[in-house]
Amino acid sequence: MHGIGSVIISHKEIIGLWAGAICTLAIFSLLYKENPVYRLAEHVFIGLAMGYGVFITWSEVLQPKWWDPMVNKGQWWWALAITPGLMYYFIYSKHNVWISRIILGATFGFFSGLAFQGFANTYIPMVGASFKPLAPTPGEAGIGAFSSVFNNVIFVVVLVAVMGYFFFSIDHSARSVRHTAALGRWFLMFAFGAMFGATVMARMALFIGRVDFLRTDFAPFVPAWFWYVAIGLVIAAVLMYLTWPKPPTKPEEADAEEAAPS
Amino acid sequence: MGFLTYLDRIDRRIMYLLLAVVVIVPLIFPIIRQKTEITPEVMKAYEAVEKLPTKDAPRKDYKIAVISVFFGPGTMAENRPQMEALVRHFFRRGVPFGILPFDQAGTTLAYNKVDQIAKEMNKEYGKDWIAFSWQPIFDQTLQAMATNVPRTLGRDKRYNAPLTDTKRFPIMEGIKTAGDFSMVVEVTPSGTVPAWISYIGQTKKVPIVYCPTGVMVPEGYNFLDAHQIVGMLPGLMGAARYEAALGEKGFATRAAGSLSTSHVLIIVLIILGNIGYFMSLRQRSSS
Repeated sequence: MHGIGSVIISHKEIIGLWAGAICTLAIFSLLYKENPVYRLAEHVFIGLAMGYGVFITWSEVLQPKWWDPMVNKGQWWWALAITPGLMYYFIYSKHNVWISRIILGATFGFFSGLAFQGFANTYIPMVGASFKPLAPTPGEAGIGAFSSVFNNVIFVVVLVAVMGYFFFSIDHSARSVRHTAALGRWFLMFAFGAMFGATVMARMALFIGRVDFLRTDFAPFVPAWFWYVAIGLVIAAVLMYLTWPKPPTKPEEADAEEAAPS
Repeated sequence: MGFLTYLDRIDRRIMYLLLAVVVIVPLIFPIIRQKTEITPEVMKAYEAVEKLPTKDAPRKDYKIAVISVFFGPGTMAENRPQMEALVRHFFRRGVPFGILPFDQAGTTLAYNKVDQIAKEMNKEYGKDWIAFSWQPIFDQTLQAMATNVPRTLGRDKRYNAPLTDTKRFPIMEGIKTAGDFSMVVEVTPSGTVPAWISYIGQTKKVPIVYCPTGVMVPEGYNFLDAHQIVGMLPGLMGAARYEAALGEKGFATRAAGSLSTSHVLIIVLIILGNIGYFMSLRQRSSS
């Protein structure tokens, strides 16, 4: 057992923390360059996710809902469920591929029905909500009424302009839709900007999460010398990068460098 | 001119290093003290939870909230603080709730976190909260819950016991259909909230609080505007704002400073990159 302050954790948890920290740093090593340590960590993650998925599928679904009733409770009819399951695998047989089409067709039909219901329930209320009053409603007055109407006017202008942009039955160079479609394109740009900003926040949050793990969960349980060595290595890597003479790159290598994951 | 044109071909590793510095420094030294404003969509979510019936409600009003866990390790940093903030609010108010996992890895991640909070706040499993077993299929599970919750969800996660065992799980007493849910909280990195809206929110009139990752936030405002959801915690900042509403300082609040500095750096880099690009264009056209 290891302890710091009032927190006591077991050797098993210490190993987990070290594994988490090493894998985190190994994955981040890709940011410098593609390398075998990153590849190893990537394969470990994929293998773990696959193994864990199989385990959870068996322990939380197949065993309690299918195997136990069939084998231990005498509900033999659960064995029939194997038949439609196996029908999917005929997709690999050239002669008997029609068998897989039966079950695939049934599945597609089922999900199409669900999708239709989902679409109607999700988007029709949105269409209803887009009908907004452009005059103060009874009971509204003063600055509140003005701001409500102003918001609604902006909403309707943006809605019409963006719908105009996606109206392709008329050439966008025609006078009737030219300006509306152009305005719609600008509004779409604003929306994409908002999405980009939100995506940056999401990606930064993931990075912050790993840094916080290293600082809050991992750091209290490692000796000080580890951090001195780690900081020394980072400084050495930065110095090497800055001072190492770089060979001239060929044009195709430069292109590959540009296309590297960012 | 040389420096400005260099900005166009700056090594991405230098940018990563700068990013690491602006993220790590505010986390270790919380020098940035910004006021966390509680935005309307977060306040609406908070107020909706404040109105939920507690476990001591009369039998006819008794309902449970459900936290749908769709996240895994990939988006844990964003989604888990959202879930944690709401769980703390539920426990504080005495709102009974169950966690319903749809992600294999998220099953354990969510269970461990709620269990840890429950121990901190002296809450009892089976009475104040419950963890349902992992559900492999999403849409059909929601549809089936509309008519029978205990049969659809089957067993709990801790004891692998049937949910119909109300002696062991008094929290499930009287819970028959999805109409007995007081609220659904959808914590997700994917576009899964329309299914909740469609099968449970619209048909059973159950209020929904949406907790998306940052990438999904812009879409969420459509649902909010159409009153299909009652509130939203947009990404990690949403969790930080909810923590502010609760008067607590968790991971999301700690991370808010780093989020701000990283956004400032990205904006600066975009501006510098564009300046460098136009300078390079001008240099090429003049030579």
